[in-house]
Amino acid sequence: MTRLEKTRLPAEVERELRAIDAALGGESVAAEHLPLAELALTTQALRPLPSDEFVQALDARAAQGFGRERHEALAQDSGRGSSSARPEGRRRAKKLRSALPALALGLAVLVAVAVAVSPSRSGGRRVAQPAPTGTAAAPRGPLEKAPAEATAGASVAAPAFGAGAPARLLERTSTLEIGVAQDSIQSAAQRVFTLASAFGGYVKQSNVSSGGSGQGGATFDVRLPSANLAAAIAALSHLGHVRSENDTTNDVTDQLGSLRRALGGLQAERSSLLRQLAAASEAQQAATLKARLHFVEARISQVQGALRALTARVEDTSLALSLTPESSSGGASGDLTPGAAAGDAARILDAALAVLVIGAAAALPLAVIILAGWIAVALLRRRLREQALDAS
Amino acid sequence: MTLTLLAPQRVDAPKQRLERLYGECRDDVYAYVASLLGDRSLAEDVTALAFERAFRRRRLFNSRRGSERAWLFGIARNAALDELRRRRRSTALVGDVPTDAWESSEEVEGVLRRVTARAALAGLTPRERELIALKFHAGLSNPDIARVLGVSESNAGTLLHRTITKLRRACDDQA
Repeated sequence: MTRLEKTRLPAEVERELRAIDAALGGESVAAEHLPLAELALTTQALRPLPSDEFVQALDARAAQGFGRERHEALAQDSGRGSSSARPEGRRRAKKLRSALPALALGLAVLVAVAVAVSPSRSGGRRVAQPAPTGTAAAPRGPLEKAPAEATAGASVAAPAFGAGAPARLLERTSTLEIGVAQDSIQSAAQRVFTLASAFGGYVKQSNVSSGGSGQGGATFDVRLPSANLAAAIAALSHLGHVRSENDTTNDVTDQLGSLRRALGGLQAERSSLLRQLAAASEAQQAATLKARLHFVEARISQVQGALRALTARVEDTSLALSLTPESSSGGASGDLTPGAAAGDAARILDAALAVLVIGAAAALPLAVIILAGWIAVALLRRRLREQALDAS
Repeated sequence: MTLTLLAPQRVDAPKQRLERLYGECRDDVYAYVASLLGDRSLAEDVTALAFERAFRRRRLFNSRRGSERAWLFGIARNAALDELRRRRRSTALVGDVPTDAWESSEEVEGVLRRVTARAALAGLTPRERELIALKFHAGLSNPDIARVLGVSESNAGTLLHRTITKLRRACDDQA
C-alpha cells in the first residue's frame, strides 16, 4: 500500500461515503444523510440496462468462450451492423503488433548468428583470398610501390617519399600458429615454401621436426612483401586450423624522415667540402678539408645503410610461422576414438556456449530498445485515451 | 478386482472464474460503458469486446494487483476510451442512453427526481460522469474505482465525494 493510500479522508467525507454505500446496499442511513441517500438511489436508477436481444446474444457467446469471430457475429445476431467494426487493415496491423516480439527475437538471433560466424574471430579460418599468380620473388628497388592487386588487407601505408603524401610508413612483424594434422606436417612445410615464393617472399629460416604423437612441428621465418602479407596469411591459413595470429606494427615514418634529412645535410656538406677543396691553395687547409670529407662520406654511407635497412623492414614483413601438430584428442586428425569424440563434443559445446553468449550480448540491447519502445507506446496510448475522455 | 483408470481432467480455473465474473458483471459493464459512451449500440459492441478481451487475457490476471472486478472494468474502460478516440476521429454521436432507464416508472415524484438528476449529470465533466458511472451504475467499491482509474484509494474517495457534492448542488439548482 502506498503512502497516498494510507492517507485518511476527512471524517465528514468518510461518513458521507459510507452513507452512500449503505444506501446503495439497501441499508438504513442516518437522518442527516437521507438527502444524500436519496440522490444516490436516484442516480443508481438512471443506470442503463442492456436489451434482451443483446443479453441473449452475449450469453450465447460467453457460453462458447468468446470465439475469435468477435462482435461481428453479435452484430448480426442483433440484426444490425457493427458501427465499430474494425477495417481489415487495422486488424492486420494488430496482428503485426502481436508478432513484433517474435520478429524482434528472430532479428536478435540473426544478428547473433551473423556475429558468431564472422570471419574476424581468432581461431577461425580466414576467407579465401585470390590465389597468387605464382611469380617468383624478384628483386625490388627500395620502397617500390606495392602491387595494386595485393593491397587489400595490407596495412603498410604507400611508401611514397617523393610525393610528400601524409601516408604513414609501418614496420610490421607477424606471428601465425597453425594446427596441422600430425601426418601432414611435412607436406604442409613444403607448401609454406611454395606459398612464400608465390607471394613474392622467401623463407629466411626454417626448422621442421617429426616425432611421436603430439610431438614435432615446424617453424619458419618467412619474409614477405608487406603489401602481400594479408593474402599470404589467408593462403597459409588453409594449411590447417589457425590457432593464433598476432600482428605488430611500428610507425617508422618519423625515423625515416630524420634519416633522409640527415642524409641531405651530409650530402650538402660533402658538396661544400669538395668546392672548398678545389679552391684550397694551402696544403694544410687541403689536408684538413680531405679529413673532414672522409668523415662526411663515412657518415653518408652509414646513414644510407640505415635508410636501406629501414626501408627493407617497411617493404618486407617478418612472419614467424609455426606448424604445430593437432592434438590427437581433438579428433582433427580424423581418428575415431572415444578421446577424439569427447574432444569434438567439448569443442561443439564450447562453440554453442560462445554462440549463446554472443546471442545474449546482441539480444540484450535490442530487448532494452524494444522494452523502452513498448513502455513509450503504452504511455502514449494511455495519454490518448485520457484525452479522448476529456474531449468526449 | 477391476481397476478403472480415469484420465485426469484439465480444469481451466481462470476460465471458470471468468465465467462467474461474466455472470456477475455483465449488466454492470454494459451500464458503465453505456454511460461513458452515451450510445446503446456502441455500448453493446464495446461490452462484447471487453469480455472477449477479458476471456483472451484471463491468464494474465494477477490478484495482487486488484480484484477481478477492477481488472475487468479496466479492460472495459480501455475499450470504451479507444472507441471514444475513434468516434472523435469520425463523427460525434448523440447520447441516447438514459431515456429507457425510467420508462417503466410509475411514480411521478420519482420521475421528476430522475429528470432533475439526469439534467444535473449532463452538467458534469466527462471525468466526473465516469466516476458516477463507476460508483452508481457499475456498483464498484471505492478501492476498485481507484484501481480502475489508476489513482490512490483516498484520492478516489476525495474525487467521488467532490463529484457527488457537485451533483447535489446541481440537483438543488435544477429543483
